[in-house]
Amino acid sequence: MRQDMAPGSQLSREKRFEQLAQRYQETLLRTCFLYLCDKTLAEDAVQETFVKVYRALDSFRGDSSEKTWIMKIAMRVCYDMNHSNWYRLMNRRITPDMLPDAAPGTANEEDEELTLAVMRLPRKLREAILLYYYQGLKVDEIAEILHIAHSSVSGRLKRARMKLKELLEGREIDE
Amino acid sequence: MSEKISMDRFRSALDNRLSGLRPDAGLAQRIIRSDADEAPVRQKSVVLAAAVVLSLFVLAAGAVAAVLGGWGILHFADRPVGVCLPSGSEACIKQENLSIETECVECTIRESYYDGKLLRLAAQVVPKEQLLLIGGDASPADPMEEGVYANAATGMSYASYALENYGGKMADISLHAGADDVHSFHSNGDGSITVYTECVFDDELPKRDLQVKLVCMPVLLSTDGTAKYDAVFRETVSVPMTFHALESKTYVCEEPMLFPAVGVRVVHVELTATPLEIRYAIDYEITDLNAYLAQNDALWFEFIDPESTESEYVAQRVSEGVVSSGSVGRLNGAHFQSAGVGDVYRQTGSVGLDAFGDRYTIRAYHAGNKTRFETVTFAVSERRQEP
Repeated sequence: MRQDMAPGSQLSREKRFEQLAQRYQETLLRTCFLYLCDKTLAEDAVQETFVKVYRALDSFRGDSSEKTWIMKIAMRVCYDMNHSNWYRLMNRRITPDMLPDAAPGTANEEDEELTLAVMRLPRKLREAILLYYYQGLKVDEIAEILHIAHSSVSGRLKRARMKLKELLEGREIDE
Repeated sequence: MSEKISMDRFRSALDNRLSGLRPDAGLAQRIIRSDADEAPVRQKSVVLAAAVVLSLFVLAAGAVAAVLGGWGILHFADRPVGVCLPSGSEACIKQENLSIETECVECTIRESYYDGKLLRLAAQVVPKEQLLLIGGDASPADPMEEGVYANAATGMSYASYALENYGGKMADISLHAGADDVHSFHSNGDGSITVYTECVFDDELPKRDLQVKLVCMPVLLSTDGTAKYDAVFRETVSVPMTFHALESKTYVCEEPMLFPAVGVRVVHVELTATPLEIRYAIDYEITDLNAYLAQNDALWFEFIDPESTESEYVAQRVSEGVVSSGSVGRLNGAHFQSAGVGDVYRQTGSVGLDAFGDRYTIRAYHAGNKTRFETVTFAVSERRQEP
């Protein structure tokens, strides 16, 4: 137990953390899955992210939005997993059976095709697409999360759209 | 006309297909408890044996790729969809022949393009030994894309390919000219690669003296596929280069343009016609905070052809320029400060030279939900250079 916090503030910190988890856990799980292309790994990444979030909650000063902050931590966790020894040996061929079962009546063929196309993007392009189109973050925020120049984010998004257009046989994501 | 997928549709497709991924309802509580106990939340659930399926690809090193010929700046510039290079573009590419050598590679800067603000460089890099080269912003774990290393088996990473065919030897090559470099590369099929660098500078200079840096970073690959960059043997060689700007003309519009539906006023537009494209900067000021905030930071101005007969909004746009970036940045204050009335933002990008004229039309739209708002046509006048 941390001894430097009064019980009241500890309670408030817990409450705040629970709210963050409730707000972001589902979308974060899906983002991590699309990044790592593995359900178990994605669950581990979400857990690892929230452990880091909880421990750093007091030092979060609000310089960026909480979503940007959490995504920054999550991307770092996913990146580290992506560079772990054994991940490199995994079969990287993306197949439909890698996808978890969808809730009954929710997904159609086109949804699956688009999901697989995103998973087949090279990692850096996938990161940019997920943060921009799925998480709805701004180019500036993505640049901060990925520690790259603003223009690199735009370049990656452009290349990702082109690549998706190829993968989707002509259909393209609107800018 | 190709079918467009909106951002909302994109998001809902992923959410629908991944609806079976349910968050762990007890995770937050477990983290809180385990933090108090200083115990691990739970053990990592990865089972190595189950997860590891090594793909085996047998590709002869000699049959890596068809010889594609050396690429140059225009090959890279031509790649984005919707870009139409003006005829005679070759004339604005300056042939260079500057060699840089490191322990691992020989690099020859072959082409440059400089328009005062934007620099493009292309260099051929040849390994001195059997070494798989990668460049751009690729990392060893990335899948090899078609066209970069043609004939490479789909799904194979650079690292696994290097292990199979290059005895695990590979190096990451990059050419730097400024802080905001954008990198790309192409395999020439003979073991050499062409690296491409694009850099947009903040200021505009008719002559620019730069130290161009070649960075060669060997990648250490273990037999198990682990890759890490070898910082100890990282080599950086700098060479001085001077670039003289090609002729370009700048046109401005200082007349304010009102876009009340999105809560902004465009206060300044600047267009620079270069030999390859028209670079633009649109400065706009927030006049109505509520209307602006309703755009959720997704406000974008598109250059359109006012006489277009196309029914789809996107098809009404003028052609794209070559610049690989288009962005919005705040001119006053920090990016993450709350927006306020009077704040000024700048949108930059490029359009094709075929749009060149003395009048342009821009339309405001919400890049997220694709709602279109006001359209304004404005005239520009050439800005005379100070003697």
